[in-house]
Amino acid sequence: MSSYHDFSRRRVLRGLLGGSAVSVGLPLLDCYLNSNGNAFASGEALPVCFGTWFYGLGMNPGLWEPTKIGDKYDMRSCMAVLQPHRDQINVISGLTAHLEGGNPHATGARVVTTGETTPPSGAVAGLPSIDTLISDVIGKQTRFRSLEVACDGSARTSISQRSGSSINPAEVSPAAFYTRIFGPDFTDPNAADFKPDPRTMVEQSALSAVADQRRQFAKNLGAVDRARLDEYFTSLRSVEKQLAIQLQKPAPMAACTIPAKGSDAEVGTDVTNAVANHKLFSALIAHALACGQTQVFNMAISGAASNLRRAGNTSTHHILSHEEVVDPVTGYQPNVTWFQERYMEAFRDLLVTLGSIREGDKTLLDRTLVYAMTDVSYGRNHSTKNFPVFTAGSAGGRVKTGLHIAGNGDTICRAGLTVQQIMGVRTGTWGTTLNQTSKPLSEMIA
Amino acid sequence: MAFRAKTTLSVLSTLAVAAMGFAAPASALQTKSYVVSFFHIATHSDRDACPHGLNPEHVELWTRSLKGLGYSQKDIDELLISQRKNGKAIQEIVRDRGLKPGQENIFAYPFSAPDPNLHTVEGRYSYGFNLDGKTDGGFEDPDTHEQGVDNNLYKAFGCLRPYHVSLPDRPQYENNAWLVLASAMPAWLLSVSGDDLTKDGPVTVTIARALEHTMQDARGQTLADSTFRIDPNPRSHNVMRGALNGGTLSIEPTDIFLEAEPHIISKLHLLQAHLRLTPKPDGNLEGYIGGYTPWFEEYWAHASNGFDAEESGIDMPGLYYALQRLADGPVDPKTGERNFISATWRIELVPAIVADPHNALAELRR
Amino acid sequence: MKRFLHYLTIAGVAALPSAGYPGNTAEPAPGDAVAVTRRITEGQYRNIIADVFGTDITVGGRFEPDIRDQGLLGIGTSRVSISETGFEQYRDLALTVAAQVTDAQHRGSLIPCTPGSPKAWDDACATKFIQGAGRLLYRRPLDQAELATLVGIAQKSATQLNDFYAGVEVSLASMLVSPQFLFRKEVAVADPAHPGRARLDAYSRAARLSFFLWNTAPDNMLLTAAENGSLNTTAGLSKQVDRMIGSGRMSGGVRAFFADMLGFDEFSTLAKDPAIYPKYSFKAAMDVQEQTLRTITDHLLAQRGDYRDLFTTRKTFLTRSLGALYGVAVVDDVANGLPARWVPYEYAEGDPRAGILTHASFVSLHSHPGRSSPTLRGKAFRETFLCQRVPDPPVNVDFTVVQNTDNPIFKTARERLTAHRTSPTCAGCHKITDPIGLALENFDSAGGYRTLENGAPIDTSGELNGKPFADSVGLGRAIRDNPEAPNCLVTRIYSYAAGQTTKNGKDWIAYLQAGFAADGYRVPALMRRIAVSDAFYSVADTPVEETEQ
Repeated sequence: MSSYHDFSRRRVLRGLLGGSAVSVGLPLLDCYLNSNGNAFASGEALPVCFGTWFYGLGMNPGLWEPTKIGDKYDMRSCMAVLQPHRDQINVISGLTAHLEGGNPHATGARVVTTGETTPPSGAVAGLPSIDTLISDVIGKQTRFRSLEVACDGSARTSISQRSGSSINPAEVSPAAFYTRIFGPDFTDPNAADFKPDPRTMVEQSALSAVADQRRQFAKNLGAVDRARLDEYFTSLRSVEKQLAIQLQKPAPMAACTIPAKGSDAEVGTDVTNAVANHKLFSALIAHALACGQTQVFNMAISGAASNLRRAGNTSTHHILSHEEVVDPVTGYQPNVTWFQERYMEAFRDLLVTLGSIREGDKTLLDRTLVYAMTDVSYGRNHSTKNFPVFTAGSAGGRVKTGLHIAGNGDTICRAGLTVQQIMGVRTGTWGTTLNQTSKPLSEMIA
Repeated sequence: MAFRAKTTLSVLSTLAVAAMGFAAPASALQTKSYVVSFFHIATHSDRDACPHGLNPEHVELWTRSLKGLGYSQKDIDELLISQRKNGKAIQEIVRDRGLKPGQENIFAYPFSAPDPNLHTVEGRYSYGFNLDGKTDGGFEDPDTHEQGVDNNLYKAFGCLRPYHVSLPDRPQYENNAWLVLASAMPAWLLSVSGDDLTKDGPVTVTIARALEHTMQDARGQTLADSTFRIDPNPRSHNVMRGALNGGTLSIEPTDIFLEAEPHIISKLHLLQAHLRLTPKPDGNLEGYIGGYTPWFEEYWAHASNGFDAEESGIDMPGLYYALQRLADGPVDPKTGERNFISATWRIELVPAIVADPHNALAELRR
Repeated sequence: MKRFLHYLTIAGVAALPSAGYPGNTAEPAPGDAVAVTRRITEGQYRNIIADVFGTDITVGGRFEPDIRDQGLLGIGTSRVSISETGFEQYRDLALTVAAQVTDAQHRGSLIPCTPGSPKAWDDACATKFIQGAGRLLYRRPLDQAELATLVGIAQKSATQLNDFYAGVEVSLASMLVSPQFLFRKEVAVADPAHPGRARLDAYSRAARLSFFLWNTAPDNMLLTAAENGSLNTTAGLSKQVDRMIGSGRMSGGVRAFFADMLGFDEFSTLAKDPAIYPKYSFKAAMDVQEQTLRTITDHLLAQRGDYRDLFTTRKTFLTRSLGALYGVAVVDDVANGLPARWVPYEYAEGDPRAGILTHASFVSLHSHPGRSSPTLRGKAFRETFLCQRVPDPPVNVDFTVVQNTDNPIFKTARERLTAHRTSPTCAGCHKITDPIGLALENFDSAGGYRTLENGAPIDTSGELNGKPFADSVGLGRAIRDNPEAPNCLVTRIYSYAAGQTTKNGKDWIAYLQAGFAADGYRVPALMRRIAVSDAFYSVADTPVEETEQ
């Protein structure tokens, strides 16, 4: 006998969705349900990859935000070179990095990469960056948790940090980067030998021991409670199965080839060299992803407050953003605009490279999500409102692409939260103080 | 647009004003208080402001300085290349240019370098006030069209690249500095008290420093209607006579002193202060505050940032000489020099609650 | 702490019957209550980890959402299971907690022995830790099979990884994902005193008591009382209940109940338009909940107040940012006002802000992102405080008139709703929600005060069960004097504690309601009355299949 009404969890979920307040948590739930498990279980789908792409000093307001919201949006002049890739790109406008008194460059970059506004008085800023949160979920099984590269010659141009005192330094030389990945320590994913991770082995065995207690725990339970318990044990078994799959030799990576070693352009702050090295890095990262060496990467064409410069001009992009007089006709700083265009060309190069690696009927870009971010929205006034960020790639179908999503002044952390949830990070809120949010951009979650 | 006073607010603030000795019948007095949400040098940079062009970018400034120090063009080119690479080749040379023995850096001893004769503003318009009563020779205010506006601070700064802006753009340093300062320094308060703030007539205006910092709202802007206590320190407490005229608030010229934090906006110190504030539909106030201000303070607020400030296009000795040259305040009888310069700042405020006048007064009497 | 006990002595205990259903005629049969199996909530999980391992162990991550059933998450916990996603989340939590407990920083204090070598297996030390932690996490001593399993996991892992602490870590993580930890399974045994009925066993009794009063698992003293049988005696039970009610931890239990009853979990998905309500920041949304919970615990526990006065009290607590939201002066005497603190605040006599209905936590939670909603507020009022059920609107209703706040003719919500109600299908429900919600129209969607809407004056008059009132203060008085309000609280608090609504338990609820009135509507006395009664632990003697399919 039971006092329960006829009840199922699905019905309750439907009830919640049918009500006036649609739970924001549910898209996240859906995204897990649709992706985790079957991707591994089927043994076919290749793992998802995540990358950040950083450029300094934002873009000219009015010249990058599409006028149309939703799909088939108009690519504006600052991003014109990305037009052929529009259907793989989501442009996110209208979000703000709240500074709360912080220096725009440092705080803006910190908010967008770590969600942290201003550390409590006396404390060192140091929340983990978005890529490390994601690599904790998808990067544990690969040779490199993540790979960091910077195109401005500085190893410190890296957004990746575990804490304020543990920054993952960036590689600045493509040649050295080549050796690091494809040198003597390279492990060919298609090679014959495979050694399972002992930690995964013991965890799998422990879960299996918990599962064996089912009979004992189910004692004295009524039918409804027993059904609930069965659901719990089914969930436990499927997580156990995921671990078991990790203990097996992974599927061969057909697209894995070892690239030829190239030579660096001069490493430094000349933007022409930075773009050239960016191209080399893009190819190496693409091959590293295709060969399963990592699933997470961080690229920076420049740092925050970009110190890249144009050959023959001593002024860096950052200094120009302070000093250069606005063109009276266009209303924008011409040299600063020139830098913005070079950065977008570099981003296009990355997309072309990732898209050129074919994996069956898809490309490497299709199973990747790249989150492009900056430190301030408009270098001229160092505003952090209407922050120009965008994403590319559909992460194996987890992301709806080809959209312009317009925010309404909410924190930029909404974009970071969305990206994390898409990549499987189990978090419902992200960001601190005014930049804290629990609202992902559900428009782009498939 | 009228000032609307809430009854709950006026009770609290009335006590403050009455106790300060500007009592009107307490029952009739209305008070409305505000906290400063933006503050920076008032610039109005139209096409005609700098007919001789803007002052040069920093590379040209360096080149000039290095030439003055006897470097050849070839030397200078090489220095510029290594500056690009290591970020400091020129820094020390520039910092030490023209120094005499015992002097530490050119920013503290600007007069050791020659005057580069920076361009200054020659246009027709400037926000501000006619401080000296003369209608010839000054600017015209673009809003009020008052003639003879004295704003030599803007004249000195307005052809420097970072200051060649007009609203809605703000001068970059002060914009950033204020954003940083606003949540890190005790707030600046303004209260208006009068018999009926919905009508024109005389009012009492208090400008004081708070104990609390401002907070921010969901848009990242200054939170309105939060409560502040007045700092009991009398140094940053100014009570003055004012008037409402067509909704616009002004004061009778007087001296004002407000402590800030020692960065770009280190303090507000004005002789013959003038004020013009207009209410906006959302209840905020915006307008201008001006008077004669110590020009060396303005210089040092920038110069103390040293090389960084110069690298963004401000020749520090040049600014020093321009301010000194344009100083138009009263002559110091002891030195025969003018230590003050006419100046006007943009000021924006949001409604606030000023509370706890008793504590502040008790502290004052101690 | 002492003051609660003191109060109970004078106002509560004297009126209490001696526990002992059904020998005591004052305590009727509780209806057909059953033993339930409840999933622990996020708050309970966090409390347990903090109690067992200390507050510096971080519990980061996301929990599977709870589900509200018949007005309470506390009932929903008896119905939910754990999905695959949920299991992954609990596993992540378990791994991070276990890693911290066994790391170099914590192992010295949290593991009660040192292994012979950190690299080698030490059976005695591992067993000691697993036994101790297991008793607190499973809320009873581990049985032989459980202990063997957990020690076995630890041994296998330690040996394979050549690391004693890694072995303990994997074993602890296993406990934290076990059904014994994540589900509170109640076990019924035959009741020797009342043949034909069953009662919870002593450990299930301890858990029901502890989660009810403290929102956490039983502590060592309570488990000991269960172990030595004293918890099954009238005196032993009273002793534990009085100890717990006298503790400062009672506020945790009271807060958990009211946060559940008031639906504060919905704040996690509440959105306000920052352009319209700039003061309603994320921080403010957190603060408004805390304001109400502080007001409640202060009034009910510290002030020993009458539950009904929560609807009229002018006393509350505010921060400076809440002061800005409400437009009132909040002076904190700490230097620079940083860090922000909670300041006691009392509204003046006659101020429209009296009682928890006027708190932003109520009016903002039951509003739309860009406008207030008399209907949602009226519905929440009836469902939350009067235990009534207001049906959802029928489908295909035209809401255009209600939603258009720019309508030049219908400037106020009252005018818009009146126009909307011309449809007889809508009128029936709106008649019971709107007169209540309209009384709160002085408070906008973010909780700010207003007297005009679109320039038109707001009329806040209304009626409750035929009793007219003029404004929010009148509404507060009307519900304060409505006997259904305390009766509803009794029903809710019992259902919350038992994880189920009563079935055939009218007499039991009526008995509690009468007692609540006799106690002057003191909530701790009500909680005590429930906690010391045998009826609370009595369940129908329902045979269940012993065999596994």
